[in-house]
Amino acid sequence: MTAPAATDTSAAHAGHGAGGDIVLAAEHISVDYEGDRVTHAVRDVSLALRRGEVLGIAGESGCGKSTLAYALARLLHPPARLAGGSVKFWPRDGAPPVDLACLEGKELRTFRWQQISIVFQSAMNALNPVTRVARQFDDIFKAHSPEMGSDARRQRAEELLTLVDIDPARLSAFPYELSGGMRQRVGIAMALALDPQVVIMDEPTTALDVVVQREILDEIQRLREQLGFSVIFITHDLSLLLEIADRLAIMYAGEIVELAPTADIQRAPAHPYTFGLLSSFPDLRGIRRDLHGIHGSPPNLAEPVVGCAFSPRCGYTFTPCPQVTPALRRLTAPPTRTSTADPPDGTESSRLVACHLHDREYRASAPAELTGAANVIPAGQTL
Amino acid sequence: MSTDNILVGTAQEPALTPGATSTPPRRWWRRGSLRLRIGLGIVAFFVLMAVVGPFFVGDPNAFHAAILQGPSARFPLGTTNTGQDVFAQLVYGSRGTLEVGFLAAAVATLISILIGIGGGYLGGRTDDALSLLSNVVLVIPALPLIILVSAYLHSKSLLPLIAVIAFTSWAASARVLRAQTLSVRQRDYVLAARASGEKSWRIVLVEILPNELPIVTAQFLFGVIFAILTAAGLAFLGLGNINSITWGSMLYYAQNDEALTVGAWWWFVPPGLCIAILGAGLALANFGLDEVSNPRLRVVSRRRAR
Amino acid sequence: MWYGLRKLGFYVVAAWAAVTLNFLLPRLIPGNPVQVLLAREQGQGPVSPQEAHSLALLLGLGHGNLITQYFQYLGQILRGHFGLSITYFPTPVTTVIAHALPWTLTLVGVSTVLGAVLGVALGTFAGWKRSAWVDGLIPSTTFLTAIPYFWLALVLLYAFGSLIHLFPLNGAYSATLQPAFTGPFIASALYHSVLPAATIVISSVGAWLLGMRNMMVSTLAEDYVVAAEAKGLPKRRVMWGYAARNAVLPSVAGFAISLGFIVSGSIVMEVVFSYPGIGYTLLQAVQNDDYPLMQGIFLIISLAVLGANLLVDMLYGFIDPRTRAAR
Repeated sequence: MTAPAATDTSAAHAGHGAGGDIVLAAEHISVDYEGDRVTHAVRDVSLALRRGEVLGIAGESGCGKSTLAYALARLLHPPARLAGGSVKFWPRDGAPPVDLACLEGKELRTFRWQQISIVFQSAMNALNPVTRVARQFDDIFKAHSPEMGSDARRQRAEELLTLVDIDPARLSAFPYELSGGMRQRVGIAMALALDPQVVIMDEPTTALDVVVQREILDEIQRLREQLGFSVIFITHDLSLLLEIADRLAIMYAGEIVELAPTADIQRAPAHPYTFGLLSSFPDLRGIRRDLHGIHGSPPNLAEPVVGCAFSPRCGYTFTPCPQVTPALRRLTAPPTRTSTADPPDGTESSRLVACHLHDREYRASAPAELTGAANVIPAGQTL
Repeated sequence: MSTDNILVGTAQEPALTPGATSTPPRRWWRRGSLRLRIGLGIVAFFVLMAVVGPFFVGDPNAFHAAILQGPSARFPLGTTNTGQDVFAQLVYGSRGTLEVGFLAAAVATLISILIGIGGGYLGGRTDDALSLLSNVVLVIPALPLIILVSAYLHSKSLLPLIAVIAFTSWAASARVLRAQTLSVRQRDYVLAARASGEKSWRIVLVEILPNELPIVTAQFLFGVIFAILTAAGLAFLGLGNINSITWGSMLYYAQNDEALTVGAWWWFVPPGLCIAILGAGLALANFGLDEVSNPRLRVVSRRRAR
Repeated sequence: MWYGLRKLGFYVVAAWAAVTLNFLLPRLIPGNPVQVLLAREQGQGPVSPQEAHSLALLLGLGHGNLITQYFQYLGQILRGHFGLSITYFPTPVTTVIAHALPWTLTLVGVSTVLGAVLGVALGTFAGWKRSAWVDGLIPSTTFLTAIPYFWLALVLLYAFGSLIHLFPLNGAYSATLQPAFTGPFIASALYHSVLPAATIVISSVGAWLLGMRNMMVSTLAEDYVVAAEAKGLPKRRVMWGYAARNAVLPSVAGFAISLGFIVSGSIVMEVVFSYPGIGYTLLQAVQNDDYPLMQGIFLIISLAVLGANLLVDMLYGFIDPRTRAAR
């Protein structure tokens, strides 16, 4: 019995596979919320963002995805606290990586928005309600490019609005005078104001209706092609990500449970939770099928989690699951064949999953019906 | 505020968990905060003083030979210029002050419930009229009005005093309750009750009022502070109920009998101090209640984390 | 635009209510107040029949039914016939008020603004910092808001007037000087106003501070403040331009209530300091059963308060652009 392959997850990300170099790397991020009882909102999360790619982070409410995003951008406030881990950023010009935790004061402020910017969830709330749009653009420019005169600032703001298909005359409007979709576009325009390399989008379309949602998504795609920034797209709506993301990270109870290219996940999810998510919404043009959903609720993160956090709700749970916490491991063979951590033919895979079903050590003791037909997904289900 | 979801143990989004239901009204008395306990402690202390204190002190009206004496063993807070026991007066005064305070606030809160919740729930023209009434009463200066009424009436008894304070102080509270009712009115359980044909007064009493209990309590506590301050101010001016002993009337006599110029601090400092401490206790209790229902306001003593 | 008109309309209604209240209140006086007053007036000097008549009208006790009396009363008010003061017989009420009003307006006006600005600024810092010791100040500010104005006045007077002879014990200016816009007079007036002003500022700062602090804490959790920080804006800009600017709105909206407390407080405070303002004059009127003066003062105070509220409401409409949204 050989040990499972060494799984240094950062090695799994670093410069691996198609897609170019890394621009942002988070390693072993943990975030706690202080209080009467400490809540472990994010637990030992590592991921890497490559230049020009869209990394989607999906999960239920309360899984920690927004907290993770804030941790990456160093926006955590009490009672939230970074309990461990580091975030590194690789600038455009090939300079050595910057450790975000080391930035303070003026350096941190300068770094903000120029390299990493954020588009917030409800644009209604992300714009200062009592100040005009022009002034809010001005604030950004004054803070980062003090040498710009008021004319230059205005011009640049107009450019940005035009970029997102808004009439530049809207600069003199107050946020309440704009529709939801327009406000979100303004939010995107502001996020792109300093030509950042990474844009974190935290549920950017959740508060909008589907028609506007489509417009905004198309807008984001177009801008990305035009300007080439990377995107971390956070949402609970997996169907969105299947369209727009290159790679997907599925989060559950503060951990990443699966991380893989979107096409792979859509075709053959490796983690039962991912499978559950995918069967929770209908495919508009696909085959009609039964919707399942996932029974139960996420665990209370104020209490220590023993074993796999998803185990109580999992339809594929077996002996080791409630006791041993599964580690995020590289999946060395897609789950349509017998999945093990060490393939006999030595092919590499860019898929990561945290599930004992795919762990060579435990898989042997799994009940036959779970691994029957060597397929995690029960026979007869199609996606 | 998407980060708040972390603090919720159960999923609220129905999209992925069909079993989740919309949450019922939260319990606000779950856990007492330090401020709430201190505040209530202070109030309890004074209530105790008012109820049982008079059995343990001498006669506040009796004259003694020792006039204008500082604190001593016999007279813990000294004597007035007519030889009366200041400490005894203080204790009896707590009774008079608290009576006025709680009674006036109770009546004012009742009026504000009727007008605020009633108007907010009924809506339409009734609401417009009641709301206008509240705003007008709110904006007309209370103390001058109370002074005028007290002066015109020439009355020295308790009831007109309570009535006039109550009738000038209900408006602020009514406005708050109305605002809250307007939002509660849209909630699922209220709409369900209306759809099932429940009578209006029953809905208000059973569905709406219990949910606004925290706010009603907060307004009541503010009302007590206000009533005590107003009554004390009136007594200080020589109006209102100066026949019975209250902290305000003590200050009236202290001012009139030149306690200030002779430096008899033991006479005029304690009554006002008691008002201030009781007021602070009520306000702290209010903040404590606030904290229990809105966790963000709690004091978090951690260094700024990243 | 609509906002301004709506507010104006409301204050017109409120002013009408105050005027009408003023008309109805004298009916509370037991007996026949006109006779009583006339008797007292005549005891001090001759009273013309017109004066007697207009007095009756002023108190809403002319001849005829309620409606007639009401319009007669309105007529008196609009012509500025407020009667003669008993306390200062035969000085007209309007003159008495005109002498007292400026003192109150300047003292209370300046102190209110000072207290508000100080309270809001301190509350901003308290809400922004959220450190343990700053929050620990809250119980003491709570204590401050509960202190009766007049008691604080007494204590300050005792401490800084009697105990330490730092400030004068009473009056608005030194008794040896005549009111005039001269240097010595203004200096004396300022000197005499320190303790009264301090009373108002200390008592009112607590409420502003606490309100602002709580609102800051809520506002700091809003997305636009987090966004402002994420944009790398300087701390000061985020604190004032994004957080405080929004957090102050409820305090301004609730100004009416604050003003109510301040007006009540300053009346009693003036009594303590024997400061010759409107409040002190009102008390004198009460002590002398000087009904015309009481009527006049109530009306003036009401109108002044309404005016102040209207100003502040207009200010609110200016600082919160959402009021301009078409409803």
